[in-house]
Amino acid sequence: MNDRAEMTFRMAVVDVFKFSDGRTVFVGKIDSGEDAILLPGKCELSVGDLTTEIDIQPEMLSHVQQIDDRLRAVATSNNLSLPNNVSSGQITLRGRMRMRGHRDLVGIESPPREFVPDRMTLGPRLPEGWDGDSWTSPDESSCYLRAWNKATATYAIGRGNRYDEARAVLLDEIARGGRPVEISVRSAV
Amino acid sequence: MTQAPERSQPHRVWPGGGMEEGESLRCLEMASRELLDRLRQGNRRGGHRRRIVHAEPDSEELRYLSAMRANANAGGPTLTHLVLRVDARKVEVLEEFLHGTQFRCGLLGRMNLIEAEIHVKRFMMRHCKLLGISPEDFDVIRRMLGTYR
Repeated sequence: MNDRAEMTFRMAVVDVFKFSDGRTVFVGKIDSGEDAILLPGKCELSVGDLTTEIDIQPEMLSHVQQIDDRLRAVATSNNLSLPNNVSSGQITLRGRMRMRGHRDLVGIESPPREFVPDRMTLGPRLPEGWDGDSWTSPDESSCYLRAWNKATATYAIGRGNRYDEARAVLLDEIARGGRPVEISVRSAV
Repeated sequence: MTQAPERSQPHRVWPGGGMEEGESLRCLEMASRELLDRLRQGNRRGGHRRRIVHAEPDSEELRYLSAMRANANAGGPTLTHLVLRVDARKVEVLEEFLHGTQFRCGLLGRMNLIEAEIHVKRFMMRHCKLLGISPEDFDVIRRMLGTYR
């Protein structure tokens, strides 16, 4: 899996809106967190036991009044006739998504292929001049923290079974100066 | 599609200080009819035009904005369909317009929603003179940015 790899989002729809221009808008929560970028295209719509395929448009963007507890919204221009007696809790959408972030950075070690961005931490708190990100194994039994300093062209890695373990390793390596970023180029004729 | 309301007096935003739980920020300057017409018309060649719908009382659009706790929305295949409240602010219209520009530039495929909103607000702050954003609204945008931290 690379940083452009597509995954599947699942939206538990809490409300459906029928706009005057014909769009049907699904609003709900997704289980992939705020770093999920919902992609337009084919999407599976389930209403109770019934499933159909629809085309969704790019995720709608709102000028929100409050950013907490954010709902997500996608629309389709497909002609849909949802059953009248269905409650919004019975509607789910499954579609393509991509996680924001870059798994592979030039000159820096990449996290293990199966690791996913850790949405709970996003990045460890780091000394001035350092940026970083945080990854976790799918079963959350292992943490992989990564930090880099563009000014000094160095990076550091921290691994551990728990976040605080990995963070301690990372900060220790940063304190020792980190590893040099290495870029090797091979010419081909 | 309905016409924009007549320009009205700006609403008051609470006096200075931070944002408290449950409060919401809103800019002062109303969106003018001229601004909305310009967005509908697009550029000289008719490109980049926006479809604008005002969320009238009892409409699904208004119910949607309320559910999202939003003042405006950009949607459609290329994020050029704007849904605005009838008392839309200039900054809200600009932000939704700029989301369409972000989409056209391919930025939205690389940013999550919050990053996209921060990016567009920073853009508006950097180009506040070009966009004609008042110092009062600049301050509201700055405080909105503070809520993302």
